[in-house]
Amino acid sequence: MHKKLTNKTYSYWLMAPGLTIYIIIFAIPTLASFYFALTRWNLIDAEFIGLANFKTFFSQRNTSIALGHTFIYAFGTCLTKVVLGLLIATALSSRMVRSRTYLKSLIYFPTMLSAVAVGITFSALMHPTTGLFNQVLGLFGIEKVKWLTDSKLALFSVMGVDVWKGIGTSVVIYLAGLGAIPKDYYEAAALDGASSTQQFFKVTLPLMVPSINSVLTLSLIGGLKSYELLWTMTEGGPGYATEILGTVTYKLFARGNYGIATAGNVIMFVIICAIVFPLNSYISKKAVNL
Amino acid sequence: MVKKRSVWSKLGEALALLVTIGTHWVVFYFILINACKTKAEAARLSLTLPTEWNLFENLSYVWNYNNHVFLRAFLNSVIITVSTIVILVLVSSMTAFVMQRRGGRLTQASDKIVLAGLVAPLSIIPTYWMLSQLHLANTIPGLVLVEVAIMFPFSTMLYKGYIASLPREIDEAAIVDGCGPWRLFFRIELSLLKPITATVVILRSTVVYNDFINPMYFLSGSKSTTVQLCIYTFQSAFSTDWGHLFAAIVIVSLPPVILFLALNKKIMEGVTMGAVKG
Repeated sequence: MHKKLTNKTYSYWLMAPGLTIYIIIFAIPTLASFYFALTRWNLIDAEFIGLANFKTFFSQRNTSIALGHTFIYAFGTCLTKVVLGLLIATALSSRMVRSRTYLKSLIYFPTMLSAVAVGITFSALMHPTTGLFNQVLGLFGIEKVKWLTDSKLALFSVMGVDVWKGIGTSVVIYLAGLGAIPKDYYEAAALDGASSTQQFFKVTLPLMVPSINSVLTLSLIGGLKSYELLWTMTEGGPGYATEILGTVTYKLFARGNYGIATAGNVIMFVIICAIVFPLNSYISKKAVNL
Repeated sequence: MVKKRSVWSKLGEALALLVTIGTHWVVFYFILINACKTKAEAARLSLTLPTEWNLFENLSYVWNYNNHVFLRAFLNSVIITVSTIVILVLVSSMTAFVMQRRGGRLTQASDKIVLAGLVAPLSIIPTYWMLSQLHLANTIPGLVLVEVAIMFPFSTMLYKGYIASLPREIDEAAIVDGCGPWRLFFRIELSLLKPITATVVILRSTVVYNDFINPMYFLSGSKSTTVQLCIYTFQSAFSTDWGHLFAAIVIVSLPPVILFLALNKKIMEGVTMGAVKG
């Protein structure tokens, strides 16, 4: 086709609606956040105050604690989904598992439920006195555990629920990756006398690098961004025990501290970019070398 | 090389099936059985069968609560989900079509901007400010635009990958027959894109319907509410009234559950497709 005809056919006008929405609602606010984070702001007037918002953010107790929790939450849930997901998927991928489809669907199912529904349900299951978890522990004579009210435990309880709800995605992605590995690789390895453990580490793992990369990136970004479960189960409490970046930012927003809340947005933005981009390129390099 | 199933592998599978009863079925059963109980019985949060089946009373209580607030929330959620998905499908497939087919600086630049959005989180408060400039803060159209903007990068990339596999010859034949750009896209491309559109619709509609954070921010000062916001407020309003609360959870979860039961296989495929391309 002639260039002129190409340009006419693939008119920029077709891109216009999508890009307009994306740029106005997503891109411009993202750029604007770097300015508004430096201001005292009531959504109408913005007074430039330099880095004061960031100083406040890092010096206030709840926000600085939240920063640490964000990392614990994101890395903890992400690593569990990466490793446990791979173990489950490997077990399920064996030709001998007859109930694979059923198990896969069941593990994926909670992903379809909303975080609020899951959060409320597990708050009931983890109820300190009448919750099912403690009733079961009681059968074994174990003392009641304060799943969501013990400040040392609460964050980990919610992380557990997050893994329960989200691990299905990793299992499904891994199973697709495992299914794409040619069977003769394993047969060749078996002929050479490789044990099943050796086969896992020498055949499966290297070939699964792209899938691992997807799961890692998806669950890390998800872990850093999402706080719906935390919000429905604990609202950041008890005290500051389960406060993460998302929850403190929302509280600052609700109180009208827009400048500091925007600083929270910017910190989140920087953290995600600083972690995800290097991690991705590191893993991609590894995949090429194999 | 067909190996015989060993006793151990059979035993392992049986064990796995038993474990899922504890890890999954108990939880689902717990929700359902407590949705059937009276307030007093549900307060014990146990797994026993109700002495008095109260499901319909619970459902009608939720239905009638606070002037049918739940019904209105449900309608809002449907409106938000449907309009988000329709707009998303149209704008992202159109953008992806030109991006994939046409070279040049403008397409490359937009490609980079859109890719960045795959990773970058939404800057919520400046977005709220932008919406209030447009007089869309705390309105349903405003929320819809936000949902579209958030999902735009991912589905555009998904469409782009798919369009790359469609032969250009189809476009050319259509143009020779006198088809303009809009007709080419809406008459021909859009129907060729059906498989990937199905993926986007199924996966994204659940995400929009289940979303809680964005409605919480972008409908914060409004009377409109969504089902997820609604059960969240029920949690404090009903307090220890677990029977009513679980009845509400059952209703809210019904649409995604039905979708899952009907389109299980398609959903699993979609998850993998998104992961590989994204």
